[in-house]
Amino acid sequence: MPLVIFTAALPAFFASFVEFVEALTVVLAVGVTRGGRSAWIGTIAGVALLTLLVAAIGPALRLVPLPALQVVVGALLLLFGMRWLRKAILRYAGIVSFHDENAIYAEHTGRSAEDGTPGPIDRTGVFIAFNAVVLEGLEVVFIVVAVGASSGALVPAALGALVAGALVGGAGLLLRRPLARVPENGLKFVVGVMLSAFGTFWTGEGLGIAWPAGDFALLALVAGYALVALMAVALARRSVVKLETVAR
Amino acid sequence: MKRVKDFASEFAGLFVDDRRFAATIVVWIGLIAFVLRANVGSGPWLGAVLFAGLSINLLASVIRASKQRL
Repeated sequence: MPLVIFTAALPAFFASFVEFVEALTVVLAVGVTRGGRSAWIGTIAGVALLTLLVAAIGPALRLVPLPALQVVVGALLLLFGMRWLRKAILRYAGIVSFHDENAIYAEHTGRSAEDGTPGPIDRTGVFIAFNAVVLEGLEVVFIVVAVGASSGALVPAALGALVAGALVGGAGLLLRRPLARVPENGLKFVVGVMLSAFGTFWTGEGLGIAWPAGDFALLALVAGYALVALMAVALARRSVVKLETVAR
Repeated sequence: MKRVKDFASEFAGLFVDDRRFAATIVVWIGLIAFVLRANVGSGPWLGAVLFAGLSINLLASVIRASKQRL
């Protein structure tokens, strides 16, 4: 298997998949409560804005020297990926509640319904759908740029995200309900590990660290972060149990 | 205006959840960069140091969060 699939396409696919599932939940909630037309307009406007952004960022990235790009993108990827991983660890340790698409769908449906009867094109509905698509889409754009540009594999990364988008969009159109059976929490844990490893690798490479075994050091970093994350879950669980015992 | 502010804070939230955790990541990267620029050290072991610092920060942040829960 070419390494580029592991370093770019796969993380972009998994991370984008999770983001698209989250955007779909909100867009479906808008469609049900504020009308399908509002949901579509918000979604199309959001996608258009993201397309413009990608068209602007893509050529601009070629002007930035690779080491500088690796440090900046690597550091942002570390902030982004480790935040995901931290949250996933807290979820598995029972400190933060698990992400539940059905609950989020119900919450958005209730909130949107409170905003009165919608017209044929409802501004609130358009904005909520637009906001969800742009915010989740920005994360997808960032992930594609981060894992693609730093390794010179923007096309495989973009393809990974496009396949994820097509799968989630297709499933959403067919089922017309949130994809609650997607193991989002598990995926977030895995993606958090991968993004943290890539962030560490690119930051180090940009700073001038010569990784042993070149790109294969990524595999060691993925294994290292997976181990640390599992250890963190166990430590956090033990810490909660100990504090609960003391509190009693 | 409120919507723009909300959007901006949601965007910042993509990168920063726990401020101390995020700040420590940035400081650790800065320290490694300083060590490399000042020629205090170099070589593959710095990669291990970068990873170790980030891992310890992650563990510390998770334990802090578990204690804050109660």
